[in-house]
Amino acid sequence: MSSLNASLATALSGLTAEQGALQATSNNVANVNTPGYSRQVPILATANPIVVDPLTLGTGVTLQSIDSIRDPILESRIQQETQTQGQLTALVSAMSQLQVNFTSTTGDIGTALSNFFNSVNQLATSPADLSLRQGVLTAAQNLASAFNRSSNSLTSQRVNLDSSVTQDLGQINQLTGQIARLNGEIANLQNVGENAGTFIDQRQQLVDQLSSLIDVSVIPSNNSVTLTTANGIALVAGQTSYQLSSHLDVSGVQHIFAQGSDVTAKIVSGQLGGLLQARDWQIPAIQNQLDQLASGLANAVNGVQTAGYDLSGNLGTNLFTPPPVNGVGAAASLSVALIDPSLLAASSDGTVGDNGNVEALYALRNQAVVQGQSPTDFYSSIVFNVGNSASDINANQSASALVLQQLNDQRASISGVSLDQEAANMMQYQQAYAASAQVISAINTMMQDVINMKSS
Amino acid sequence: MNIHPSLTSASADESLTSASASASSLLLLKKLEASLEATQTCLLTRDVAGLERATSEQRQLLQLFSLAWGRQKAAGHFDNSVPSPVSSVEPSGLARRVLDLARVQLVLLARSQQWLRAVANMLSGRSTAYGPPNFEDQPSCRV
Repeated sequence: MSSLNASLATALSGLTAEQGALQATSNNVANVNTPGYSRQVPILATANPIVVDPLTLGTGVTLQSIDSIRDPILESRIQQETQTQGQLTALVSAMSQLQVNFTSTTGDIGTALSNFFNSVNQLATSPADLSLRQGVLTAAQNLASAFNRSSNSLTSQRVNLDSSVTQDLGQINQLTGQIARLNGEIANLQNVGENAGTFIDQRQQLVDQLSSLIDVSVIPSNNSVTLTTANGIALVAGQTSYQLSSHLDVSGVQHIFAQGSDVTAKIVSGQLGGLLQARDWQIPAIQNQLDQLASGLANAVNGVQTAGYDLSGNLGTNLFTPPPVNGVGAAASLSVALIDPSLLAASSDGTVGDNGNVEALYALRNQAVVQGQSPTDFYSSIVFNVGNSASDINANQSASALVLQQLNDQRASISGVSLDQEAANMMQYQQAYAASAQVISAINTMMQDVINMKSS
Repeated sequence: MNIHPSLTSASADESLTSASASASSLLLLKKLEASLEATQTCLLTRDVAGLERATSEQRQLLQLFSLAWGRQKAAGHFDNSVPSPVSSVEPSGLARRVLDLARVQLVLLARSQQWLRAVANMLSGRSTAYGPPNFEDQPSCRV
């Protein structure tokens, strides 16, 4: 009987193992369309044999574990590419809005600049004509307005990016909190030898979402992961998440703090990195160039104005309000100082009808007034740089998207569920289960025979 | 690769109509677009043989396009006073797509180059200094 019981136990182990394997297959099939799900594989192992002299008898099979199929190196590459993609997406959005400021329209700086010099050229044909003089003042006003609009648009965009920074921080803190909780769940399960595959998949998805927002370094540790930024700012350690906070800086934008330290400049990737790059580098650089152009042009025009004589024979006064000494804010504050067209200094010697000073004003369009360049050339270089940067960023983003798609396809081929394979596995486990059941049935018959022998 | 007969026959220069010249340029641009799209797959899968083929094809297409462009220019097809027989919308959109694809290809090439440097450094062994390897000294690392 003892040997029959042993055989029964062995057959039962087969039933149990195949049941567990079928459970894993069932879970795979149920999650075939679940994003981020890693297919599970039952690991069967021979149970420890027993020695019954002179024989060593097997004791069946055990379902050792149910493992999730993942490629950690591939996961790491996907995270890195996700960070890059997040950063570039934020930059593409920012640059496309920036480009709107420099698109050739009736109100852009380039057109206004051209119209201003054209009006000056027209005045040179009849310097005493009040309507032509008014034309110059109107063109100057339009030029100033174009500078104001562009500058204000850049400031407004910077404010919008600032609010996006705050929103992203909220999402990051929420995700790190969830990841820390999952670390706890996973540790609890793994400490008692249970399968935590589902929670690991959930955690991986959250890490991927976090990667799109901020640069993340994943350091596996005992039954959990530690997350930091690329520069070592702690985000999650075990079951503890470290929240990032934001405070308004003297520069007027939100700065990011981690454990009391300003870490704004240390965030270099992810969507947050892209937003900060656009807010703190791209836009200020363009703003600075606009200020230089406005300042250089205003000072040059004013210089010519004050060297000539108006219709009354008096020395000319500034056409534009003098820009700030260091140029900061020149584009936003540029305005026309003259209201009376007769005060335009067209004459170079005080004679009515002389157009010497107007010619000098018109000549400014080809003179080096900003960093060794003419106003038109300098503006063209701004436009070119913005367009070129936008094109480069777009190309990088497209390339990154292609690479990310390919990596995700690779992950799907490794960790994804194949219904054909699961169907084949199901048949295999089902047949093994049926075979074990047959064995149990046979043992049952033999036991009945033994009992009947004894009773007779 | 099918090439428009008018582009290969010198004697056909005199009989080249403006419409056929523009159509040829358009055809070449479309082939260039298709070739650049195919190159992306080669770069992503690191199919070196496919990449060489595609690059060679693109070089040929660009040469033919330059030829067709030159002929159009010589025939005065870019004179604003002469109405163009071909709509200007399609070529400019196509040209922009080709330009965008070329930029993406440059980025993918740069990334592949980085990857190759990393692999070459790994193969070079511990004694090699960090940085692009010197292939002259290490023939076994030739890529």
